[in-house]
Amino acid sequence: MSLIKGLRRRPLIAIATVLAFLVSAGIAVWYSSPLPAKASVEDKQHLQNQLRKGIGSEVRFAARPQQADEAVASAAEFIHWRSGLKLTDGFKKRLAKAESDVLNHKSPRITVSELTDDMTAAVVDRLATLTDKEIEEAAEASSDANDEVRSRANAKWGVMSKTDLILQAQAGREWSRHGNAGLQIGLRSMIEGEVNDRVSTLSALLPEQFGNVDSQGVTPTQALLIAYSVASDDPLTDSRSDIAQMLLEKRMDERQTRAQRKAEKNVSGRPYGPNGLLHPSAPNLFFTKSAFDKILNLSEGGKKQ
Amino acid sequence: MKKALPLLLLLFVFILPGCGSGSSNTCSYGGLTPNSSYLLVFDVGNGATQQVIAVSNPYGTIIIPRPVGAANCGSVTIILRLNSNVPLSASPSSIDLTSPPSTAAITGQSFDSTYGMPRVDYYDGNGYLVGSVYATSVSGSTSLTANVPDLSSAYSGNYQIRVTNKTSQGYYSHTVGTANVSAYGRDRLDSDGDGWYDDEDCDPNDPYRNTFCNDCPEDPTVIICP
Repeated sequence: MSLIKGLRRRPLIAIATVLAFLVSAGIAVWYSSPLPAKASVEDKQHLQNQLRKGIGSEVRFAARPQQADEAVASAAEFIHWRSGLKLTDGFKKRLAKAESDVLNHKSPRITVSELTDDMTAAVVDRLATLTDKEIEEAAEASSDANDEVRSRANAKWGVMSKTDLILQAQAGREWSRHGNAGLQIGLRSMIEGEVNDRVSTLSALLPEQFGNVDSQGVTPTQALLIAYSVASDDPLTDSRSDIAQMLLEKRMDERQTRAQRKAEKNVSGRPYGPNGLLHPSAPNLFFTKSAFDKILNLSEGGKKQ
Repeated sequence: MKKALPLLLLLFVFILPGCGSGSSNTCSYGGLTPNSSYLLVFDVGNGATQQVIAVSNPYGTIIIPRPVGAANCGSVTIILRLNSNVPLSASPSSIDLTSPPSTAAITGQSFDSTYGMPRVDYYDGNGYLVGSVYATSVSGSTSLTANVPDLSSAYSGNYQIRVTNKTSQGYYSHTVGTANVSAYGRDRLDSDGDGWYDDEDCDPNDPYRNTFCNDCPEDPTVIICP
């Protein structure tokens, strides 16, 4: 029985690897995985502390519409520092308007199901339009020093070579262009799991900022942060100084010299995102204007009234 | 539909070349101490090894890419890395880089030369290794003496000296602790004045190139939603 289960899981792992990286350039669970029963209370407490020092303190979520600009600015800065992904002023302005509208009850919150659906649709759409150059750049940005790509930071869905990744991305692109229903089903299932993991973890461990989001939905800023976390495999934990110390200790553990550091190609110096030091990924492949319009309900000044 | 999905996905796997190789490139080790650092030493043939440092997840599992050259995931020695975090003291605690001392003494506890002389690593303020030597003598478990490594390329600033014991498994996997020292007499240079010191600037003489000299953008920032 376990063999059968294993065989059934194996394709899911493989397909997840392919699609997660080639299409959305990474969908992940790392520290933000829901902890199983055997995980200790100390582990949960530790994760909660890490989250509080990260997203919990560095992003100033809005409680009132007047705070929407500040919330968006802090979320944008949080993402930029960690991954190098930068939101333009125009996008931030539209996001702040959408955030304000939700807090004013002019627009509804985005339900977790809607977020999942919209992320899936955005990924499928994006996959169909990927160019070979974009795929190669994404593979480069996601690979480590050995030219290997981890499906997730903890490699839970496996590891593949950059070459394999490119081949599989191109195959996935063809599926999407032909409207393959199986692709959408498989992707949605995977994205649902990733989004739900984050929603349950954040709502349980950061109730001040994310309480009840599983039942009431998320604001556009929260949706942005969840989408970013899923796409980049950033667990949203730890303060800047914690991460700086983590990177320093990593260097010391690896006994890296400055000459070795200089010889490394395309290392961003940031912990996540393209060529990230803790986990490289290419969320920018997925983070396009149309994708965000879809995910954050930004088109036409808000939809789903 | 739930029953159909695995079959559907299985079909995709066989259609896609190389799909099945994804997970086979991964090595997974369970039953480890959760959230702990391990040294994994892979046999890569011809008597050579490759060492990988990895941290176990909260479930006590490590999943890593199989190192290139490793015949299989089973050809590995897994060693728990210990860090006693002992505060150490170094003498001298301040080093003149124009005339560095030939030896330094480090005091603390837990030094152990049973399986080999402890290793003494010098790191700069950013955690980069600048020199490494082995102790020449250990007295009891509380003090050791070691030659000072070549510091001719080091610059003024704060440094950490980390002492690591060799364990019964034959690897330097027990970090005893660190001592802090300062160095003076040779300030870092920024020849092109671009704010990046020469030793971290990929083109020390061009102010417009600093961190990315391999045909990459100077700023790795990616702008989304233009």
